[in-house]
Amino acid sequence: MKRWLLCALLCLFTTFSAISPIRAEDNASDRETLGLYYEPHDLEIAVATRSPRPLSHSAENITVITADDIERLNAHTLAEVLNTVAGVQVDLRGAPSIGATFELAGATSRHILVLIDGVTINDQLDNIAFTGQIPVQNIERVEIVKGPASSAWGSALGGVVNVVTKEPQKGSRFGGAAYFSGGERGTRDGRGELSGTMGSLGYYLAGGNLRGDGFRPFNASERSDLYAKLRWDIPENRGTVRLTLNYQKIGVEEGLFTWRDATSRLTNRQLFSTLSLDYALSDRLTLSGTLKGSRLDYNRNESLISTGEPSAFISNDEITVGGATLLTWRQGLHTVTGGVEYDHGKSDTSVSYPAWPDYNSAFSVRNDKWGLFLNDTIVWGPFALTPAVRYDLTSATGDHFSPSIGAAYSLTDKTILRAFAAKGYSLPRLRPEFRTPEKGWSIQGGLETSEIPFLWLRGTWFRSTAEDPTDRTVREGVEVEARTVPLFNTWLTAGYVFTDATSRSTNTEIPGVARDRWDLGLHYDDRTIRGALTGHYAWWNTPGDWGGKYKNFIWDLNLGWRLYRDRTTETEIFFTGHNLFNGRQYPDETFINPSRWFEGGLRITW
Amino acid sequence: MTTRILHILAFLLLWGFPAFAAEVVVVQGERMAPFEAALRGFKATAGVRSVERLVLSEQRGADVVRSVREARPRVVLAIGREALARLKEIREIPVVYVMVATPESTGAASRNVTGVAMNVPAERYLAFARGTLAGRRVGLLFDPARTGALAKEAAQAAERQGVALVSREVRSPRQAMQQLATLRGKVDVLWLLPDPTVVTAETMEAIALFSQENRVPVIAFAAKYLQNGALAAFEVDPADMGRQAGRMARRIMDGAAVEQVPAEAPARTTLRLNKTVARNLGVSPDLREE
Repeated sequence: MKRWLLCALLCLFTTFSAISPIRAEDNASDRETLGLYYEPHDLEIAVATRSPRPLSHSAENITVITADDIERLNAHTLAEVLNTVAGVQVDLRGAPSIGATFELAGATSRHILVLIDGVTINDQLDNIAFTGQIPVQNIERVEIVKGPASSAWGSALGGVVNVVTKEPQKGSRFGGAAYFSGGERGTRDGRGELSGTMGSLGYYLAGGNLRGDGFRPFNASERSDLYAKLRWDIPENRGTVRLTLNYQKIGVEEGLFTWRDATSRLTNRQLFSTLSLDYALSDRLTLSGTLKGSRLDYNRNESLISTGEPSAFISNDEITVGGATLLTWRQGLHTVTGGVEYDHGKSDTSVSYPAWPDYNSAFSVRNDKWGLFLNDTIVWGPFALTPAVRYDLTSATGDHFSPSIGAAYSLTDKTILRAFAAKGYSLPRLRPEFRTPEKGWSIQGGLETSEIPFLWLRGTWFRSTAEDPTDRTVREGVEVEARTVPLFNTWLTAGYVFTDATSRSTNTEIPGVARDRWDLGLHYDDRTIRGALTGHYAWWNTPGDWGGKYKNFIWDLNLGWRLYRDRTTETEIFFTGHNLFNGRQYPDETFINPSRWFEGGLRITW
Repeated sequence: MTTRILHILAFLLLWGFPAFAAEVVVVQGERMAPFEAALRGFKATAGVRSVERLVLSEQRGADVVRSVREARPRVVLAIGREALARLKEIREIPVVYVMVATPESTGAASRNVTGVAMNVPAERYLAFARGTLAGRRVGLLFDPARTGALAKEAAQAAERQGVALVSREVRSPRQAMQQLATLRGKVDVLWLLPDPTVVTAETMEAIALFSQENRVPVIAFAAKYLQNGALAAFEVDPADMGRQAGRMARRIMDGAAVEQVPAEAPARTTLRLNKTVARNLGVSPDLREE
């Protein structure tokens, strides 16, 4: 598979690199013109919430990561990308593509909705998305909404990670990229992409294979993925039709669980597809419709360490089909988006224990969900108000009403004040023993400013509650992010998040939630040489018997040298040193973080 | 509780809908930060109560011209080149533009159109080159299809100021680098136009090298090039230009004919310098705009 893929990429590169690109049109677009005056991050403001709006009008605490940022990190998976965002805590558990849990301001994986092209990646059984298994080659942008997003998306009490994939390249029939990296412990990542537009039809294809032997005993992983997008532009620029197919196959050895004398091997296959339409019905009214389907199939095999005998087989097969229709109406001060969403989900699980057949079980759960939502963005001078409501009817957990209201006020051209309040909910694990959803309120207030010369600063205070019949938890804290403007091609980034998470029923701190988190970065990019030294530190305050160790910063170094570049082609070699000082940072001794390791590679774009 | 929330939301949704007949209709290509800043600046000085906004990237195939006409505004604000080009059919409503680098290339030049061009006048660059940097020969690379009009304006300004403009036509970045080499020993200052054929990541490296090797200062049009080896840049502020356009729109709404409100260059520019480059080139670091 890997050899075949590399050969194919090499052949495609050789063929297409000989084809001359089409000359750019003389009438430069606004984006092209402004790109001459500003850095890309000074232009990017729009976010793909249900009602796209510029960040200056967004009351929510939103962070946007672009494809350029991902490239700068030499990242393999979405988890590695999220790990660099202030307020996001990722528990990287070994080789790239090993499943990693993550949290947003104290909200754990189960409360966070992860979407790719509008399709949720969270499984139905546990409501968890494995971001360590999501490739980054096809990602154009990742938008992270920190705080409840239920008024837009339904089950998203802790927030949303929205992955926007790349569009077919315009202005050229053939474009693409090839990427290969290799490192210690058999870590190898080969990827490629092809993209172009012929007339009104555009295509984007990406695929790759990532594998590694892991950094602990029994911790290897391998992932293969394919992604395809076809886009048809409706004549007269009235809209587009898109078809996407997204397939991933992951095999993971999860590690040694000595406390229960077991090892675990996971095989996971995922297929997601969408067919979507965007169409201008009138000058003010736009229709968007999406049909979506997904299939998740995982098998977990556990064996006894002492004897090597199989001890458990768990299999789960999930199918979801659904669709969404949205109407967006722009008039006067308002941008109103309303829509209806439907998902039919079915999950079949079987558990068998060869040594104890009496404990074997099989169960099937289903969940039909209807969601009705309406939101508005009212922009009145420097003031933007964003009221939103959503009503969800679920067959498994009843009905949920999720309102939110936010306001953003541009105090000056460089300072924005934000306030946001929302009610949200999270679907429970759909196992028979867990059928109670969690619900809660969150309020946030913040300020974003670049009034201080050479410095961008953002601060957010938050307080969130989540409750189910057995407990009520409260998470509150502050998040501060800072970035300097580039000076001599060099800039600094810093982030600090304090989260106090307590259970009100026991009046104790919730274990496993990072209490303090620091992110520091020193970056350099002169368009030939680039480098980033980034450090992450988290204090989990976990119980002593977890065996966690987290007194060290984990420092990573990413370097790149663009060997060759002309108008359409670029070649870069890169190098990454992970955990440079061999720091220890893990909340649970079962999942010790990887020690120092190195990798390097080559990236070609054309 | 739920009913109360729904009532509040219903009120919020309905609030503001009477704004059908806006005083000003704003048309912009995309929602981008500099455009938003320009709009905020415009609103600060135009003194209008109601503004309707049409964003082309969100309108898709919609007939924007018809929407503008139906709104019957007193003034249309076009932010960016794409918006101005789309509005060229409108002849009966005053159009004020802002954030447009080359307004004449849009085909929208008409008696009802005025605004603030994004480019700093050539005189200001040349005065700086001649006065402060004592450069009598100014080098210029341009793609006729992209910045031919600006180059023509530069030639006229150079003639007026007694500066020798050594210009080279190029049609690709590779050609730009070749032509750059022919300027060796023939120019005292190199002036960059906002030309995407000439200014690329690849050519900027060659330009920085040319500057260092030949001790030729480079004057750019945006501060982002200071980190690429340019000595100086004249920076314009979108909010400032928006405020300037707002004042022009106010005059029109107060009764002035569009012909009485001629197009303007950015009123305020900021000279930014890279002092390390200045030191390396042996130029006095306390440079001033002439």
